[in-house]
Amino acid sequence: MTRETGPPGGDPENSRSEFSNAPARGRNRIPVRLLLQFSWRNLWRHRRRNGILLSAIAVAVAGVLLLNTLLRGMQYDMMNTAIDNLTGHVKVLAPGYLDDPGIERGFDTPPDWQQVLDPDAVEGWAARIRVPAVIMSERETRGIQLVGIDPEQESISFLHTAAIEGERLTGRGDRRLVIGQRLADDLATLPGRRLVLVTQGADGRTREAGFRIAGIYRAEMSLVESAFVFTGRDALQDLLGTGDVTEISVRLADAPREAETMAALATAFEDLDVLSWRQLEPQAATMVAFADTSIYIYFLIVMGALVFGLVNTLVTAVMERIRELGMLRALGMRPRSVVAQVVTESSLIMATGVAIGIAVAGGVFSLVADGIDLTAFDDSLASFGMRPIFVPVVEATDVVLVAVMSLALGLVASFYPARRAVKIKPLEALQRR
Amino acid sequence: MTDPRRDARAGDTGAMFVRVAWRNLWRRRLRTWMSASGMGFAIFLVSVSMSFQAGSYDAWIETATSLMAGHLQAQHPAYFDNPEVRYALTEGIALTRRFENEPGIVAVSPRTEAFALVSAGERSFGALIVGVDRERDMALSSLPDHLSAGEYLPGADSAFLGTALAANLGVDIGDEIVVLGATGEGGVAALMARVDGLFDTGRPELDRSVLQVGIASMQAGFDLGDAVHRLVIETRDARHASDLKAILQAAAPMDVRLLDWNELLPELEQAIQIDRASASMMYWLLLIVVAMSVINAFIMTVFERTREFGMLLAIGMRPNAIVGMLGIEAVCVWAIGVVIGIVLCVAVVLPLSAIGIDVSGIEGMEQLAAQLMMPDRLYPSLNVNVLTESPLWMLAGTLLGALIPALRVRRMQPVEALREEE
Repeated sequence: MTRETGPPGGDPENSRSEFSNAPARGRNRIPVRLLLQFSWRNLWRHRRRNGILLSAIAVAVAGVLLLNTLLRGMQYDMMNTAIDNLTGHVKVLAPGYLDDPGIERGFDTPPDWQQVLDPDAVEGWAARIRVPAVIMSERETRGIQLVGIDPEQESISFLHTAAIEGERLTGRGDRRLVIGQRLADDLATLPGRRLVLVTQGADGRTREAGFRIAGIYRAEMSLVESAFVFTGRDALQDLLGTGDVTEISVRLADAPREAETMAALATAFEDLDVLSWRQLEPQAATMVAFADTSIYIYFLIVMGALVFGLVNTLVTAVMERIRELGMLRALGMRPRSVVAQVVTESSLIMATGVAIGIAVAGGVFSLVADGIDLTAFDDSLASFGMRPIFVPVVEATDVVLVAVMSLALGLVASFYPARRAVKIKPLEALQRR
Repeated sequence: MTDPRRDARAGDTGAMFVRVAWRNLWRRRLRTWMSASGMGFAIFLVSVSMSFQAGSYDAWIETATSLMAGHLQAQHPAYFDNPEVRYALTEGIALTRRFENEPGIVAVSPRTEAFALVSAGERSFGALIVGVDRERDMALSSLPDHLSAGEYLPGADSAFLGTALAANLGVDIGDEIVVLGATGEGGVAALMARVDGLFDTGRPELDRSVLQVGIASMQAGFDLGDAVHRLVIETRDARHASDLKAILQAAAPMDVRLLDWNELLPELEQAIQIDRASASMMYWLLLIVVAMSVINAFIMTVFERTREFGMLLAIGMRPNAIVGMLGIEAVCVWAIGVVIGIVLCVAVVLPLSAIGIDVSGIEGMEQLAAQLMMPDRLYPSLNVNVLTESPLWMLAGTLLGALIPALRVRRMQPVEALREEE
């Protein structure tokens, strides 16, 4: 072969330091360094073909990684939206509240309960009253969730960042309403106007009272805008004739120590249910769990298609070198050194392809890292609990996982070609022409 | 390789090319099988997943539209944007009869709707009150199928409500409820009803907020006369609903607006679009990876056969003929791949399309399915589109992948090529 004596296309010194984790099987007979040098040069004997193979691996790896960042982005978004929408990471509720929400499922908070929380693990908490109510304007009637809040505690929910037309609630004694834009449209009302609320008091009797609208909030989902109406917690307790709240929502700091916090809350509120967002928002939790699995599915599909091409190239590389390998065998090279060479070649291609793929994915990612505007799909995304603009998210573990799985796949793919190489009988190979 | 010249004498040139190409494939048995299997694998995956997509979109549409919305609706022109009691179609019964006689329409059900306060004893909740014509609604709505207790509107003053709403109100079968709302003119609307049936759809927003009563008692209580808010229409085929909408709209009176399910349930249409978009990203990635494998296989082929091609060129074969032969080889590999992929796909999907896949067993899937209005069982559907689309794209990819390296043949110098070591 004319190209056999051509210059090695790369510096073996560099290649050694880069890929020093190559299999050490041949150590007894061939130094690892020599093995790497051989493999590296072999790769450069067929630049075009190995170049295409590298690109295929890089495209596959980059594609899988990018699809995964999109999915992770959706996953984070769904999780955050679920948590933002008055859920928090962990919630304390009275048993039965979820099936039959009402002030009779309220509870009073022991004065020092928050001492059980580890301040480092918790970003914030809010004690609220949340009861079903009917809201009426002069013209229209709607069923809503009436939420009594302490505005200072609501830094943990969407309300803190939501755009408001008019005024915010000034404190927990504020006896005005903040309603969603969608509800305001349905009721054909404006800030400053009055609405009538009908709900059930702690004594079981119906309470009906007029409230003035302080402001109108905008939320990412119209479902939220039409569902939640906020007022001051103390003002609502006055109306309902109680000192109870119906829920305590806890938002955890960046590294969620969920189980620990839940256990601590369970000791503080013995008779109550302590639930995680996964239990409260099973749908979002399912989607999040699905996203965890789907990286394997993406990987298997795309890399599965790739492996056929990889085996093809490796087998060809072995068959082309039958004479050469036969000669090496005749000179005393051990079969396992032959295996080591094929495996090293496969791993080198894979490792280089994966490195390029990760670099390409990183480049593309940096272009879209600020977020992709999916406004065209707004309605539907909202029905899934997602925001119209969503940001792809990279998780280091995913990148590592894809890299490790790819390298493992490279090893698997070299199995058959390596066996072919070992089967070569020195004499026959040398005679072959 | 068989001597092409002998074959050329023997018969028709085109047939000879195919025969030679086919034989060439089996000179590198493993490579051919690998390339074909790679394509087969990709075609299999894409076809199977497309058959699931096709099956689930139809099911999504059917399940979602049959619950409340229907395939088409006729409304007062202002009602869709402002669902207020006063925006009603005045000639409700006449319009129902009229639409029922239209070709392509299977069933029509008139409904009245209003948000109102529902009370039982001391408890009150807001709910959407829906007045329905029992027989007509049963013909097209799946809500009666979700009956969990009692009967579906047996009497004139019966009420049919969600289990969650009933629990909130603290009522059970046989209890009295009072509905208080406002008429279109702003007067007080009131009606009494007896809880005769409960439904449980698994969709909290429905189970918590919908109450059905007989349309006649609602029209009386809300002072509606003969007026209705929606005429819900089931057509023969949901996919052609928008065509039918255009025809009906053209013939309808001025104050009737027709809407199809894409408009009534925009999130459904867009859920389908998003699902399609994300699946097609996957398909493109697969196609590119497989096409690159094909390029590679043909680079190796062309490289190995440089001497052979040199000889063919030397004895007068035109370069394009050699490129053509390589193209035929590629098509042959593709054909094997298609057979592998389609056979596997049919073998997997055909039994499943008959028995379906139970998705409700997957943990958490039930709530998700209920929320997205998906059925418990998925029936993948095989059709011509599913079975031809991925093979055709793959053919384009294969030809491209084979021709890029094959074009090198045109630049070959016979003398140099012949000198190339084997």
